[in-house]
Amino acid sequence: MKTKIINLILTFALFSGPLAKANQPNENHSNDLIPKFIFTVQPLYAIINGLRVDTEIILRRNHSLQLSPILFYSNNFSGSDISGVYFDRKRGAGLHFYHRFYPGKGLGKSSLHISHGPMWHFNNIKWQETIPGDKVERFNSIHRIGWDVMIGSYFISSDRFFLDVYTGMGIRHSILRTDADNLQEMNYYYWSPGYSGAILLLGFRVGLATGTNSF
Amino acid sequence: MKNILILFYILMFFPFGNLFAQEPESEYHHNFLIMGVPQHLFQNGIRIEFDRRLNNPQNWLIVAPTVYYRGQRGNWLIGNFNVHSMWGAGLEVFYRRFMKDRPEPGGFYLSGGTGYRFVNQEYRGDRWDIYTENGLTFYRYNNSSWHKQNHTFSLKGTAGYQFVTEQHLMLDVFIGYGLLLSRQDIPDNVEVLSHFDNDAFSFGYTGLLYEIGVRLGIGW
Repeated sequence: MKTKIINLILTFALFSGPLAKANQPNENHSNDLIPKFIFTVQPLYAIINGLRVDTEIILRRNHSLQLSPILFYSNNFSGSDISGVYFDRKRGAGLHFYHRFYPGKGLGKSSLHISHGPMWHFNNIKWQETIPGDKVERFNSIHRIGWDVMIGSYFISSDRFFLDVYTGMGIRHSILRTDADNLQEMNYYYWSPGYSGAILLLGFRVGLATGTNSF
Repeated sequence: MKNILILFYILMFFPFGNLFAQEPESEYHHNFLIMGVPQHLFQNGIRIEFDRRLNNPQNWLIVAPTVYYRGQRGNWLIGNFNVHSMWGAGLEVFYRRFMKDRPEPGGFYLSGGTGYRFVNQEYRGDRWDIYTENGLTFYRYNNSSWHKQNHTFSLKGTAGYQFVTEQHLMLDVFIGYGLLLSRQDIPDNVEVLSHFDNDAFSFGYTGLLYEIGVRLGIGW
C-alpha cells in the first residue's frame, strides 16, 4: 500500500511539475524574447518506419525556415505493413523544406502559423508480389516529390517545451522504377510510399526551443 | 496494473486544455485570409482560397485556385472507380459581403462568383472497338482506356458564417447553389457507353448543384 502511495505521488510530481510550469504565463510573452531554433520530432512517422527531425530557424518574429530530414529504415516485416504491402526491407531518406509565417504579432504572441514548401522522399523497397500460386521477390525504387501547405497551432512553455499540431493539404508525384508487374501496389493510401495525388496532412510535433532572439 | 490505471487517470483528468489557453481577444481586424477547403480532396483536388479585404471591411475579394491530381484509380471515397488517373486545374473568383458593418472579422456573409476548370481524366471501362479484318467489319466489346477532357464554367452563390475561433484562426461554413456548364472532349472519337457525368461530383457535369462545405485557415 505504501509503495502504491509513493508511486502515485511520484507519478503526479513527474507530470504536474512541467505541465504546471507550462500553464504559467509565457516568459517569452513578457520580455519579447523568442527562440533562435526549435528542434522537434514527428512521432507519427514511426508508423511508416521513418524518423523525422525538424529544425526550425527563426529568422524574424513572423518568419522562419524549417528543414526536416527523414530516415526510413525497416527489415523483415512479419506481415503486411500499414500500406497493406508485404515488405522485406525498406531503406530511404527524405527532406522537407518549409517557409513558415506567424501572423499578427508573430511568434510568441500568436499561437498560429501557416507554412508551405517542397518535399522529397526516396525509398528502396524489397517486397513480395503475389502472383497466381506464388510470391515473388521484387524491388521498388521510388522518388516522391511534392509541395505542402499547412496551418498549425503551437505552444511554447516557459521552459521551452514545444508542441505543434497541424493540418493541411499537399500534392505528391511518385517516380517508380520496379521489376514488378503491379505498378500501383504502393500507390493506394495517402501514406503509401509511391502515392501520387492530392493528400490530406495531419500531424503533430514535439520538441524543444533553444537560443534567444530579441526583435 | 493499478499503477498504470492511476497514471492513466492522472493524465486523463489533468487540465491539458489549459496548455492551449490563449490571450484574451482584443480589438483587431484582418486584411488577408488564407483558407484551405478540405472537401475538394474527395475529388483529388487541393483548393486554397486567398481572401483580400477591399476598401470597406464588409467587402472582400476571394481568389480560389484548385489543382487536381491523382496517378492511380479512384475508390469509393475519393474520385471514381472508373477514373484511373487525372490532372487539372481551376480558378474561381468571388465577391463576398459581410452583413455586419463592424471592422472585426466573422459573422454572416453572402458570396457570388464565377470560374473555370480544366480536368483531363483517364477512364477504363466498356467501349466498342470497330476494326476490319479480311474485308469484314467487326465490332468488339472491349474493356480498355480512353481520355476525357472536361472544360467547366461555373457560376455560384453561397451564404455562410465565419467563426473566429482564435484571433487569427478562421472557420467558415457555407451553403449555396451553383450552375456548372461543361464541355467534354474525348479524343480519337472513341465510342463509350457512359461519360460518367451524371452527378455534380463527376467532372463534366452540366447542371445545377448544391454547394456545402467548410473552410479553415488563418487571417491577419
